[in-house]
Amino acid sequence: MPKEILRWGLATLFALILNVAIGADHKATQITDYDYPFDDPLVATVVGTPSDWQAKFPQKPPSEQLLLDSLIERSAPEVFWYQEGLRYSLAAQQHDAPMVFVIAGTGAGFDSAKMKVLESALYNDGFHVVSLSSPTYANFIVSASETGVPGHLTNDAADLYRVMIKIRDRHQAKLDISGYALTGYSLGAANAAYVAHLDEKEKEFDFQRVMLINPPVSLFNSVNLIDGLLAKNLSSDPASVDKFIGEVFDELAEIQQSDAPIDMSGDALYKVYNHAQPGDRALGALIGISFRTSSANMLFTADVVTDQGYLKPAGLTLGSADSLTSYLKASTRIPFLEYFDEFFLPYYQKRDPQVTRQNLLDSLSLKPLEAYLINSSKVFMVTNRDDLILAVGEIEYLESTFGARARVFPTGGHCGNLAHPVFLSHITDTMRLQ
Amino acid sequence: MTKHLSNLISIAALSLLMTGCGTTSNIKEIAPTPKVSAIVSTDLHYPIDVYDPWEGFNRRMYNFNTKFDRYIFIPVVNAYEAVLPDPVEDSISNFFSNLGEIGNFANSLLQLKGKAMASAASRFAINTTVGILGFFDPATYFGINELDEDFGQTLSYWGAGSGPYLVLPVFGPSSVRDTAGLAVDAWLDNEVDLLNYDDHTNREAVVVTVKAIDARHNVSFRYLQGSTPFEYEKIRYLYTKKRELDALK
Repeated sequence: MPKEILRWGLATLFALILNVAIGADHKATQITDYDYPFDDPLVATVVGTPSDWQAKFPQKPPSEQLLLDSLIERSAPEVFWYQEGLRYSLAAQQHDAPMVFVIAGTGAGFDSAKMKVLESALYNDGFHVVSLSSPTYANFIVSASETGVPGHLTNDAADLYRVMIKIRDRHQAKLDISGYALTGYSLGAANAAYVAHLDEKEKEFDFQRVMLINPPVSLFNSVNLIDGLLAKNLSSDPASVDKFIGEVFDELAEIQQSDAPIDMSGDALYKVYNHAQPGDRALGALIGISFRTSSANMLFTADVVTDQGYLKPAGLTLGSADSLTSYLKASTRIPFLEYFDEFFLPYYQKRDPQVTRQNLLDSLSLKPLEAYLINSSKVFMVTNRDDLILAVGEIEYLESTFGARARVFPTGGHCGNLAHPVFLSHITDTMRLQ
Repeated sequence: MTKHLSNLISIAALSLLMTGCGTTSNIKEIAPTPKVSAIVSTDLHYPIDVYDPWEGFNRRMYNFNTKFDRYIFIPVVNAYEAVLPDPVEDSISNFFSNLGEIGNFANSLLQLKGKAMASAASRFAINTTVGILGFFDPATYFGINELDEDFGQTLSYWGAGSGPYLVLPVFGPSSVRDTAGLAVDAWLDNEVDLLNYDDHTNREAVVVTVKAIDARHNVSFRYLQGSTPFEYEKIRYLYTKKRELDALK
């Protein structure tokens, strides 16, 4: 019996040594092994990374959902009575480690699926991971947006920065923090660039690494491209949007009810995709609708918080039991361009008469930070050649701006390959602090 | 409802009048007519619409459920999950789901559904014996899946419409028909009295409590986390759609 144990122990030890020895090697070979399965950027964007292609991590992050008292003086409107503060999460290491802030994409919360992927990757790479909702997320608008009208990159960065300082101050005493890093995907990447730039002046964090994942160049272009998918793929008849949403839900529900019901966790989308085989028109419409839905949440929240009379009549106080159904109908109908011209622009013109349509449009872009992004050796960028949110010429712009700090994957659409091990290890390898 | 609507319209009309005599300026004003009245047509049927004449009551109940969930139900479920190991939790779920086969059987019978009847009967027989009083679920392992049937579906099978949408305390989304269904299913459980409550009155309170905790433990949904202002509408729509599809099975 003791002999048995000894042999088993030796074998384990060997396995461990081998593992350590080939561990590094394994990682190196992975880099060339980009086998992301979808060439169609629409499929990639909708389906993402199916579990067989997903990166696996040894440890589940000990993620804690936390609440920060509202940072805003105004009290939450009655109709948002349930917004009790800013929600975020922290996955802390037991030991001394750098802290990374991760910023979610348009309309996404700190606990969205993509945020969970990034949290896993970065936690397993040794970071304390703080996950933040997008400034366009309803909870963020109510609890942390100074203006109440998100999408303005400079203002959003100031809001995020205040939040990040509060969170750091709250946890600093208990955590050993050895440095700071910053990342975000999609709109969150643009937010990260502006926060990094702000930090050069404010010096609260002195980020050692900043990683922009699938950033937009011009928000205006990106949003119009995504919104355009809706117009291009659904008839202009206003009822057709609602009808299509109805059909999608019907399809999902039908699959769930079928003889071999699909487990709606995990690979649900991939299974639905395999089952329904939607064409590019349906996929395009789906992306457009999903964006429109999150923009509807944002529009209504911004309008209620600022009481500008855009969706609801100014001065009308909505109570916690009032019907919001007609606001849902109205806000999902509004194309981004219309919102920009009729709400966003007048709102910022009212605050600052210097604002013109053109200079406001120009400011919603990475271009005002161009000199900084060209010269800052700590800011990195990763994207995909077929990213749906980039207009003609914008990939080239990103490549020339970031130079050697840019990495462009051949496929993946908009954040579709985020969970792929090669994509993720590029992120963690770049962000790892020396 | 209608009062609220007429309020909306009169305020909209008022703001229209006001912008009519406003000064001209090169700074654009925010939409002169609130979009809600400019875009939404009250006599058009939208797919998101659900018959909800008691919306005010329902929303209050939804808000109550949110608070109940947040301050009582979920903390209790969290404690339950922290104390019990996962396999024990699963066994408890299996146990209640096995008792539920009585209702599945009765309702498949009432809907003349042979396959569902066979499934309920064989699952109950296998899981009660091989599965040790239902604490284990070998039937699923043998490929016999649970087919949920309730009295709400039975009513629907015999032609009853769903009636108005109704949010119940603690239970959440329902309809008049499904509420009646719940009551009948509960009555049936009581009549069959598998756990012999008649002779053990204390037992009932304990079992009902554990059953409720187990049911909540199995649903990952959390009320009003702040992602969307339109959660009530979305849940109402999803519930209605789900019940329509349940009826098609």
